[in-house]
Amino acid sequence: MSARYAPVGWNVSKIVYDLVLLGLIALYVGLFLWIAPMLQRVTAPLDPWSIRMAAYGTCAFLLLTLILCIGPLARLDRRFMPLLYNRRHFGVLTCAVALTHAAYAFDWYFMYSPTDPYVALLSGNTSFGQVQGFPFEVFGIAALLVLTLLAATSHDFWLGFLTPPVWKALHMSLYGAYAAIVLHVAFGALQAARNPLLALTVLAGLTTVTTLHLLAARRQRAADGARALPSNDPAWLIVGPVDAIEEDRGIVVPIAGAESVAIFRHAGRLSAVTNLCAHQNGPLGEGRVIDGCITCPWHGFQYRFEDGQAPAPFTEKLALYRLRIENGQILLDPRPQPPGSAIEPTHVDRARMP
Amino acid sequence: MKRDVFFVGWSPRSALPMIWFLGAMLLVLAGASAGLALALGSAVNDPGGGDFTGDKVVIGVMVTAPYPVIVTDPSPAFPAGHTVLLSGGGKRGVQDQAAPLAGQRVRATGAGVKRGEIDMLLVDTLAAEPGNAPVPAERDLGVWRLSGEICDGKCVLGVMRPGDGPTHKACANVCLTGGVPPVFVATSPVQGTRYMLMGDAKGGRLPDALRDGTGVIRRYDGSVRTLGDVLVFRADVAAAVGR
Repeated sequence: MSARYAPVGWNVSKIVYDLVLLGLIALYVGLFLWIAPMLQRVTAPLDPWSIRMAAYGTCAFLLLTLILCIGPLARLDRRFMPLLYNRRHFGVLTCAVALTHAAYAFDWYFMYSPTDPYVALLSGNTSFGQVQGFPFEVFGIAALLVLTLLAATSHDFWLGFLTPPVWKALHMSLYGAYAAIVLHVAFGALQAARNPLLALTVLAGLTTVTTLHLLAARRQRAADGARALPSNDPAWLIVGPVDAIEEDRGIVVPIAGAESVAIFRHAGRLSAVTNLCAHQNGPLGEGRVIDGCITCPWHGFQYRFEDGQAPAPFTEKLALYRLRIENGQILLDPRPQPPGSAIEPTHVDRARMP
Repeated sequence: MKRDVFFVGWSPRSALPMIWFLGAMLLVLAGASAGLALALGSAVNDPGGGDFTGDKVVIGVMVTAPYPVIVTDPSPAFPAGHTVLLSGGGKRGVQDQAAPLAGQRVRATGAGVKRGEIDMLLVDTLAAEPGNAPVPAERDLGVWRLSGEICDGKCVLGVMRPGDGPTHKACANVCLTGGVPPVFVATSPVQGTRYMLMGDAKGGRLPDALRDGTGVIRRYDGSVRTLGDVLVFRADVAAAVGR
């Protein structure tokens, strides 16, 4: 597992994930377009463009809501981890659905006029000084630009090119896109809606996303190891008892003013690495040791327990940290060693010997 | 405490311990997708009864202010004195074609659109027609204060369903900029109708300044006149803009 640039590194999990996602989108859009109109109580049916706009628009909102729920859900219950694995494909599909919505809206509302359609899009409604009739299109355009940017840079090439911290920061703008979509709906469809269902759906989505993030943050704070304490030796911090770490598991040690450190236990030894996976800066400390390798919970990237290096032929390296054990307590030198430095894992049993 | 599971994407077997959970989640997602699609897809605003009425031939006298209309001769399709609003293809008016024919008897063909008592023709051909063309007299119905929405006549009469409301505001403005006749949809009927052709206080085209008012319900003062069997609401633009 490592970064090798191919259009898509397909495997069974990704194929199943994408098929399920496409199936759910097809189910939603199909029922919205072809079955729901039969249930409408209207004098005359809505025009097909308006129905398509509503179908793809609501679908994009619901998909984005789901995407934003995946991260906290996976933190709250590891059985949601499979949803996280292929989240980038989820994002790209969501962008495609949003673009479909935008294409129908653009075609229906801004084409076929003496005004250039792009000029019409930007000048059709300029009532920025009023709440009712506010140009809600600007929020949709902003969200679409962000979604398109994120979809275009979702590939591992961009991850490597931009570096994981920049890439991750860029992709956090998804929250901004979600806020823009909520505003797009609030100033647009909700202003026109005479039925409260859409408002309730948007409110439920927003509440769910917010609540899950708060719960996950609380859980994370509780799960993180206590902040390391100073020891008699100023170069070392006291992490806690050795027995606090289960076999083949890790703990996350927050360090004041620096990146957190992940300490793993495997085969009677301890090894400390940066908590940031070299792939997407995923939380390594929440991973496992599998086949002698520290394995990231997000995408399964692996690093040898002994030296923090990805197994050949891959080349990623993690920064390691020095550890020692005194009186059953783990002591950590919080200064990261250069990636690839050889630091022998600390033997738990040997250290316990008087 | 949840079962100790750890999914690794490249190892599908790692999903086996949670296969029942994933199956249940899939069922929940499918059920929610279906339920939401049916609920959101059916809970729509009623767009009203406007619709296309097929190909039409309209013969009558051309009036071009505030917007081009034909006040019809009697025919199997229309009674005498019926007013048919004119629009072009797409989001365009027919001012350029209509102007040389002002006050003349004309023959127009195209697709008809109708909502309530108001007819519109989406003009395909427009030409002078032999014969007399008495310009219909207007009747002043006095000054009114009306609440309602400024719409573009083409969309609100049935070309788009829905063709009104805030989500349609930009489209309405693009249509009006293109010359499509504006229709004022009053919240309460005037002389039995809620749909009126709209112009400024002097009987000219609706000024751009009023386009903040499209797509939303607002109150306007102005005079109401008849033009054939259609009402024309001449809004006091200065008062409306300052409001």
